[in-house]
Amino acid sequence: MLAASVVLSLAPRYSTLMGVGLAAVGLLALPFAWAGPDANPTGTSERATRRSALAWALTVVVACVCELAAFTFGRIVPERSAEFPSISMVVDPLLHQPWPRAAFILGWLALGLLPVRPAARRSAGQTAAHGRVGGDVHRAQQAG
Amino acid sequence: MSFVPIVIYLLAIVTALCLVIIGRLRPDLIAPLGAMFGRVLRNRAARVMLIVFWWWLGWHFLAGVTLDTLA
Repeated sequence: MLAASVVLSLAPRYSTLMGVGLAAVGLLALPFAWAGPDANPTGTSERATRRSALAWALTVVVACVCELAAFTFGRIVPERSAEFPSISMVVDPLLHQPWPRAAFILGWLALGLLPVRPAARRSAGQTAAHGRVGGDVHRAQQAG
Repeated sequence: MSFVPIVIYLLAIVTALCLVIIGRLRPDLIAPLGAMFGRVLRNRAARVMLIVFWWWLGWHFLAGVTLDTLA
């Protein structure tokens, strides 16, 4: 993740390197999303989980409705779209600056780890276990 | 530029931060984000959809020229 954030932070916005880097991150993340997380990773109650899901969904939906309204307003009255800006228009000037862009990239990558982290951890554990087994076999062969 | 949408976006961010903090302090009241994701992401379709949406966000803000202001 650190390597990806460094490469993406150094790549100019809208550049080919940025596009290739983002495509690589997506292609790397997809198999982990497909493999999936652990079956039951938490001990929180069902009611607390439902409340949390509802609160997060409401927050995201309100932001999305505002974004949709900005998009619709911009389509109907394009010359006045700046009066009702979308999220893209608000953050666009910030993302042209290197440090805010680097912070955005780090946050974006960290957010992407949430869905893929358990599978990635499991995959790393299997690799380590395989390495240990292989090492044991190798040592046993040497001893034999 | 109208401040109404900016205030709404800021409120959404503040609400999200509050939900993260409450989830840490009172997990019996609001489940932490990781726990809620753990439950939602048991479904493969939800996982793939979320990862594609997450990837698109990165593309939209960093690689895709989506605003006319550059022209």
